[in-house]
Amino acid sequence: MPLNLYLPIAGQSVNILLLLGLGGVVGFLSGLFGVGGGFLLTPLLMMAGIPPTVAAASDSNQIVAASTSGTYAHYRLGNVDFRMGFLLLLGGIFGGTVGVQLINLLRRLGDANFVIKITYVLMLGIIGFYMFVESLQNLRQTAPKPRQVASDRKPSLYSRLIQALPWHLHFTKSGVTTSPLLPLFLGVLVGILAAIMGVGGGFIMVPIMVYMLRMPMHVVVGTSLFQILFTCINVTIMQAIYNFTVDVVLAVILLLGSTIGAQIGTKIGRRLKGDQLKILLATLVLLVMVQMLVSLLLPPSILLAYKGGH
Amino acid sequence: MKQCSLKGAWLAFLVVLVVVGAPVLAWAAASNLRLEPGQIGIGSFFQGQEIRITAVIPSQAEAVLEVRGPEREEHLVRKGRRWGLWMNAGDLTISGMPSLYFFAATTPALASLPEAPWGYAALENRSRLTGALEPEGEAFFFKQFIALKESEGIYRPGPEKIMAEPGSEGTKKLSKVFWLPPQVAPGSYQVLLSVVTADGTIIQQQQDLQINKIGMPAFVSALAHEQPVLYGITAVIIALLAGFLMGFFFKSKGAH
Repeated sequence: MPLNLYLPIAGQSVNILLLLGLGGVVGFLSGLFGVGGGFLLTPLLMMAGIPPTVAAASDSNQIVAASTSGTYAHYRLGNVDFRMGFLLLLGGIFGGTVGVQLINLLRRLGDANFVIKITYVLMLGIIGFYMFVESLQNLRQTAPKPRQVASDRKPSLYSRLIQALPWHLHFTKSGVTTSPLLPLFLGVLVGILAAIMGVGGGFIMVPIMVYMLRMPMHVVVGTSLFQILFTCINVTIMQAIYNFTVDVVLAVILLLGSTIGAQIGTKIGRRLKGDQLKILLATLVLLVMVQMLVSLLLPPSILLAYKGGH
Repeated sequence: MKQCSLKGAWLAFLVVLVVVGAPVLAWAAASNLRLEPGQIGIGSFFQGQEIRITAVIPSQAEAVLEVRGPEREEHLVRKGRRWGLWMNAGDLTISGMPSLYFFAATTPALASLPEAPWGYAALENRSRLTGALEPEGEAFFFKQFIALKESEGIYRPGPEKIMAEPGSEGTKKLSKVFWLPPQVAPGSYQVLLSVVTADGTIIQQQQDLQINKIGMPAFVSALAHEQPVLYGITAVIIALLAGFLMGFFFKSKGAH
């Protein structure tokens, strides 16, 4: 049997093992960190010769499978906070709509691409660097610091702001008591950034859940996957209707690899400490940031590209 | 006397035409261009296709073969440097260019024939490039477009060599094999044979090569374009089912 398969929408013949491998790697990261992997798989598919628009749309379709598999695996482990996930999702949908309008405005002003690229580099750089340093410090601590007496600690401005918000609710799975306005607001923020950057937003959502909602890492991963699942269902259907760029054959092969990868990632993730997971994700985020920065600084070999890519 | 010399000139012209031109005209009247296969189907395991082109031409003539994909408008973005960073710096549109272009000749000298209707220079004359062209200009971005297409393997700098061997009765047989890569777009392709006679006259013959999707690729493409809502929902359901199935599979394995 030939190892190459023709992809009807991409209009390419691609090696099946290559696609299975790419799907597997990205699915593994998805299960391990709770990120969709769109920020990684789309450029990899483009390198394999898939047109950018088809790569991005089909990637969303395969993320539906990977995040279903990952969400299901995390649900069985009790790692999905559905209440928090719904609030973040609601905020994300609203923020995504605002972000799309913002991008349209920037396109009219002519600086959309610059804003997108710079947002990418800055967000990846800040998140990656902060996570890396913080996790490294935690891992290096051999003995726990003596705990300060609660009355001696001065709450930070952020803590005081959160406390001042109304209608506090207890999120049992996350072990967090906070106002539902906070996840809604953060969801809007991530939605705006995700729309500007053209990705699902998992790699922004995960650090926000960890550092701003102060959720435990294992619940963060499951809840992030749950939220990504719905975002990508919406994107897949919209891309199929308006751009005809979803290649279901490509997505099926990728998802075969990614669903297996997601399950392996979830199992390995359970064996790692929260800080080990964070430092690995931070390294990945920083690598993508460096790659993007290099592509911005070095002149491309061909000064033309097909419209529709990132 | 003057009338007599005019008649003589006409007579001499007709003799030359019969002796020299008749084989060419006779050749031109009959189509000698053959393609094998005559049409190509893109199925699930399509990995590209070889096409063999044969022709018979007068022995004194030279020839050029071209394979041209269907023309389409291409929408592109140009890269530019702003604030020290390389990014998309404007939109360009090019029309009148074939989706694929290969060409071959019996002699490399034909590539540099002035005003020749083949080769990249001829394509440039027929194309139209619009959009953010300044300051580099149209010629620069045309070259960049060719470089982009060559990097995909769907344009090849020519000419490649056409094999020629002696034929019967003042003719020679030409044969050329082109490899069409897997990324050929479906559509109606043209195979053009240009015969250059000893006096520089160019006579052209053309055959169409139909490339169509068949089987699963045809079904999926038709569904995606004709029923996009159904296609999108089906794609999501397949992904959800696959995700759950893999979840169940791993769960049952884990129980042992």
